[in-house]
Parts: sequence; C-alpha cells; structure tokens
Amino acid sequence: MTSFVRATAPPLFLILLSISLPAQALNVPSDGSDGAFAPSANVQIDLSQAVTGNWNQDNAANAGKGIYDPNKWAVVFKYSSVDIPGGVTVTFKNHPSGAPVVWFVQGDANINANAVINIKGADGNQSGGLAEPGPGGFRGGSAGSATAPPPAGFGPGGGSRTGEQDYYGTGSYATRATYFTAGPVYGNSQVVPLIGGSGGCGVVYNNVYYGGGAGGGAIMICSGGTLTMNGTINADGGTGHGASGSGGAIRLIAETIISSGAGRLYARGPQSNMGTSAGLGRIRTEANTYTGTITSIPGASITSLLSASPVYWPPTVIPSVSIAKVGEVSTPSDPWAVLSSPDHFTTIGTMQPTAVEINAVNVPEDWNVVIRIVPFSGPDTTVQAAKVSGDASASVWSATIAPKMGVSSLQVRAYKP
Amino acid sequence: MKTIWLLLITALTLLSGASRSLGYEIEAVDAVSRQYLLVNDASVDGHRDAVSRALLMVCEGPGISYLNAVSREFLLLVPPYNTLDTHLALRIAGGLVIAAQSDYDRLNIVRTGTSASTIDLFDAVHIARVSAGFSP
Repeated sequence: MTSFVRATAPPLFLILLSISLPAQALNVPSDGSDGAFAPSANVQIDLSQAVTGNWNQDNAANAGKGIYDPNKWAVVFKYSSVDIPGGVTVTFKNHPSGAPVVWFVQGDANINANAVINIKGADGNQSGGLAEPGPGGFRGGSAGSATAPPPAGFGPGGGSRTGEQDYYGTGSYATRATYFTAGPVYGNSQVVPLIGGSGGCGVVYNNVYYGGGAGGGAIMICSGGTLTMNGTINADGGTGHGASGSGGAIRLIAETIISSGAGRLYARGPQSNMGTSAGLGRIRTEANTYTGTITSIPGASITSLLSASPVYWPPTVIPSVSIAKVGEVSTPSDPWAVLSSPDHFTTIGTMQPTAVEINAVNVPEDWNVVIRIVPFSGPDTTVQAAKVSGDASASVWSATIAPKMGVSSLQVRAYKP
Repeated sequence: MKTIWLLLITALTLLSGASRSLGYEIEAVDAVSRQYLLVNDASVDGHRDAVSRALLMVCEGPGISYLNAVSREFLLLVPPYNTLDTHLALRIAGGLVIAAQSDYDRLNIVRTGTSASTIDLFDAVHIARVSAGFSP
C-alpha cells in the first residue's frame, strides 16, 4: 500500500488519496464479547469497572466494561462493532492504574461527523489538586500553596520544577519545548507501547500559585473492517495555568480508513496561560487502504499493514525497566498511581538516602538509566542509576534517592545516550 | 496525463518497496520522497504550464526503534511524622525501649555531632517540630 500525504504546513497533515496494493488481511483479536458500542447520547466509560484478567479472555459476563490486563497495562474492549453518532461525546473515567484504552473491533468502526472521543488531559487548576490525565497519560502538578509548594509534572516527560524560578516546566512526549525545565521526549512513532502524554509543572509566579495541565491520554482503535473517521479524537494535553501537559497518543489500525474530510486527530501540547507550549503527542495510522482526508496534528506516522497481525503489544525482546525494591521493601507488580489504593504503592519509614533496585531487560549496557522522583509537593529530582550486575539481556541497576515525607511518584527511564 | 500518473505511481511504489526491504536493523523510521513537480507540454493554447500537487510519501518499515523504555509509575509513601513517633523517640532516648533498625531509619533524623548515631532528645524534639508543622 502506498499512501499519498499532502503537507500544507507542518505539522498539519492531510491524507488525500490512496492506492491499494496487495496486502495482508487484518486479523483483529476480538471475539466481540463486549458487544456493540453504539451510544445514543454523551457517555462516560468508567474504566475502573473493567474486570482484571487476561485481555483476550471472553468478557461476556462483564460485557461493555472491558478487561484490565496488568501485564499489558491496558483496559481492553473487544467490541463487535462501534458506531458513535454525530453530536455524541465519549469520555473516560480513569482506571486506578492509569492504563490506556484499547478497542479491538470485529467489524466496522464508525466515528461519525461531530462525534468526539475525548481523552484530553484536564486543564491545570488555579487552586486545588493535581490535574487528571486522559487514560494512559500522567498528571499535571497541582497549584500548591505557600506551605506546600507546587510539584513538577508527572510522567516520563513531566515538566521539571527545580526551584522557584523554573516557571515553565512543560510536559514533553514526541517533542520537547525549548525551556530547560521541559521534560525529555520518549516513546516512538509506532506508539508501541501505548502510552500517553506527561504533565506540566505547577508554577509560582508573583506569589500566585498555578496548577499544571495533565498529559493527554492514549487510545488504540483496531477495526477488522472499515474505520470511518469523520469525527474527532482529542488526545490534547491539558492547558496549564502554570505549564501545560503534552499531547497523548492515537493509534488507528484498520483494513480501510475512510474520511469525508471532517476527521480530526489531535494530540497537541497547548499553550499555557504563561504563554509556553508543551510537547506534541504521537499519532499513528495503519491500513491497507486510505480514502479521503483526515486532519492530524501532529502529523501522523502513516503506514500500510505489513502483517496480518500488527504489533499490538510490546514484544518481549524490547527494552523494559521496572522498580524491584525501594530499600528493603519490594514494590507491587501492578503499581497503581492513585492515593486511594495504598496497597498498590510502596511504603517506607525513612527519609534517609535509600537505594532503589531497578530491573532492566534487553537494555544495552551503554544506555543511561535514570529514576525520576516527583513528590506531590515541591521540586522533583532525577538520579542516575549505576549497573550492579547482569548484561544486556538482563541486568540490575541501583540508584540512591532521598525520599521526601509524604507521597512521591517514582518512574524509571532507560534511553540510548 | 495518464503517463505522468503512471510514472508517479511507479516511482512511489519503488520507493515504498525499497523502504520495506530495510528491515529491523535500520533505526530511521521515516522516509520522505523528494517533491515532484511536473510540467505539461504547453501545446494547448492558453495553458502554458501546469504544476502537480506537492506529494510527500511517508513509508515506514516494519522495524520499530526502541531507543528508550519507561517503567510504570510507582507511588512511594513516607508516612508523615506524628505524635506516636515523638513518643517512641522519647522512650528510646530514655532507655525504655530498645530501638530496632527500622526505628533508627525513621527516628534518627538528626545525624550530626553527638546525635549522629543515636536516637536522643535532639531527634525527639525535631520529630515533634516536624509533626507539628514547624519544620519541613
């Protein structure tokens, strides 16, 4: 398959015309056990209603609510068909794990004109708590106060907050703002694994406290038939009163993707009230035939179906990292990121320097491994880890952190220097 | 015109095939063709030139560039100090309780001078101030 893409002004891409070449028929792993999804009015899908299990098990007993697979970190819906009428907006309430959303659709998926799938990150608060991300994204820093300074943005590309003067720690994902406190880029253009955008930091400006925007969410929609994309999928980051969150991720896979020209795919990093923009998210389309025009910001990574079974999940041979221990305390295998589930986070009793043990698989020895600590109040820190044992196939790394009292977010990132 | 389209399709198909043959070892995941500008023969009166639409082709091979990895987000809790910590520190400082290693980790927070390696009144006072919100 070859697709022609017309670029009017980067990063706006318009899919104009297609030529279909012999290609693999798509094998969508859906038994349709979540039924047909055809809302007639605005609907919020509560991802916390998903049962925990293997994503590919029959979900007829919990039809329509999806399956949360901790090993895949995704809430998976196996629909028979999808038809979202015009004027209907679909939103999501996050799963406590913060997992992204996957729709495997047996047949056609119609996102009609003026229909909206909204996985946008929440805007920053001028007062109050952390901004909630779209599913699979990460929170924005809260506004904080004089006694509890605002935190940095959360997520691997979260905007940093290293001091009172670091105003513009915007979230990053596919791109990074030029401000030195903006977070790093991560992920890849194929959106494997599926992961959302990162949050912007809270800001203190002229003794006024501003919350950061949250990262946009992440969604993969895979249709075994025709995916008609005339509506909007919005995975924008949240606008920060302080710094904005980065755009999230959209991945569309289908035999045929059609649009009349009304289709919109957004994963933008908005400009904050302080005038600074966050990083762009990622958009990916895979189909044997493209017909029509879709507006995509940022420009989509476009490809044909090179296999009957595309890479839906991260293969086991790719690099991965996880936190094994903090001090002597083992971490949960399925860490959740909400305060209401204390059994899913790690409790230690000390603020003394503490070793964090990191497991790395398929991480080359010349890569950097860093751990980022984001307290729920105050500046964040990033600590370089050192390899303790192992080789490129499996290794153990260690970093010493200085825990702060209260709750902090820990996240490890390994990257090629 | 048909000839022009055939040329375009042939060129783009060749480029697409070339991209597919790159395989997994290639880290670059984007390939963009040169911009094609086509000019018709100006043999028809009044039509002196014609320019094609600007076409950009994006062909991405099957290989995925895994140049980074990100862990799940873990939440770490250090429970705030409270009056129970102050009481325990006082009891340990007074010799009423033998401190365990976990007590040293949590309650021995003044680690200078004579208080460096022991839980004493300095620690108890500091913990009391922290739990009351007078110290960070």
